[in-house]
Order: sequence, then C-alpha cells, then structure tokens
Amino acid sequence: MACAAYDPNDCRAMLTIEHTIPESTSPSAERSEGVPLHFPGGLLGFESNKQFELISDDELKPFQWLKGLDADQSFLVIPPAFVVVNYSVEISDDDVALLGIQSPEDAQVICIATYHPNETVTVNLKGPIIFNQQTGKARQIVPLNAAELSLSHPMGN
Amino acid sequence: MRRNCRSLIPWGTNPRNELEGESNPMLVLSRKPKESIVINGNVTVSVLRVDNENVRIGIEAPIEVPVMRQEIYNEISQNNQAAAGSAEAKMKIKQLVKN
Repeated sequence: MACAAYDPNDCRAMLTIEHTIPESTSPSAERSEGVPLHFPGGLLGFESNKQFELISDDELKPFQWLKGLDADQSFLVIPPAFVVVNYSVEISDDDVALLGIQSPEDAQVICIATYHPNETVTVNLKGPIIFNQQTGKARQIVPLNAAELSLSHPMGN
Repeated sequence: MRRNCRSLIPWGTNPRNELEGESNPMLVLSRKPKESIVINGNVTVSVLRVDNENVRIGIEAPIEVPVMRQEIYNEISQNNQAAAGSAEAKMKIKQLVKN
C-alpha cells in the first residue's frame, strides 16, 4: 500500500526527467513497425484501451502516431523537447515503481497533441505519457509539477 | 458503487461515467476525522482533518490504481477525447506537417 495523497506538497519527487531531443531523431531507414506500449490502466478517459503501438513515420516528423490496438482510437504524440525548451516533469515514487524505471535513461516522455479543426495543433504538457523503453510499460501521469504545465500548449510554426 | 444502501442517490459524479453518459449510484455516509472507508478491499480513504471548508483526505491504494483530483482527471480525459483520432486524422496531419 502506497500513500497516494496527491498534494504536490505531500509527495517527494523521486525522479525528475529533463527532456532533451533524442539522439536518434534521424534514423537511416524509416521504421515501419511500431514499438508496442502497454498501458495497464489505459489512458485517462480511455481506461479500457491498454494496448498501443508507437509508430514513427517520416511523413509525420516530429510527431509520432500512438496507434490503439484495442479500438480505432489513436493519438498524435510528440516528444516534448520539440515543443518547449527545458521541459521537465517530476514523477511520483508510485509512478516510478509502477513503470519499473531503474534510471532516468529508461524513461521516455511523449505528449498527446490535439489537431483542431482550424488546423492548429496544441500539445498536452500537463498529462504526459511516460514509458519504460526497456519494458514498454506506459502510463499517462499527472506530474507533481502539473500546476505549472499547460494542458493545451500551442504548437509553434 | 453497486451496493444495497438506503441512501443511494441515482446521480453519481464518477467522471468516467459522466463522459460515457451513464452514472453509478452514489453511496452517502458520514465519517469523523481519523475514520476511513474501504473500497473494494484494497483502497482505503481516510478523513485526516477537517477545518472549516477544508477536508484533508488520505488515500491508500495499490500503485496501479490512478488517484487524482477530479478537476485534473476531467480536464486531461476531455483533452484526450478531443485528441483521439482515426487514420483519417493522420492523413490530415501529414498534409499539415508537409506545409
């Protein structure tokens, strides 16, 4: 039993992830097969959607496609380093334990982007997806520093 | 909560059900500070302190159970609803990225 009093003042931040642009942003060949991601609790509001595939597609760069395998509900995602500089999220001990993250290098961060009818794109920095790249275990978390993060950050041109 | 209880109110505030257009009945009961409620045998909700309008609540739950303030759950799940797309949306975004 872990204490889950979700008041930022009550919880210690065990792990802070400073997100930087991954080194391998220009792979030599387009990676057609996706990376399987398992969300034990689903996404917020989509609790029954647990299996996804993270697909990198040259035509979508720097976005990626989080393809739902349980339902035809997929998400446009982007590593936050392409959206803002100095993005960092503080992850609770519980989330670190659930994802089995041993070191910050295991943890990857992606954020869900929303495509609006007026052709603008906003990015949810407040509820990022963290996944363990060793195991593919993923969770959409509410970081301890959520209060200072934007739910719909406009994507710059 | 699907329990037999005298004080069942037919409109719940479970945010998930709000989104799906259905609701669970609400179980209403009174607790004093330091008293608790056990949910499903593995989640304990305790009233720690009450002062004026603030109720301090402690939740003990397995780590796989997401626990968060309802306003945050609502805003993020609504954002996810708006973001969810199909293969068709993907094509549009490809066009947008190209331009």
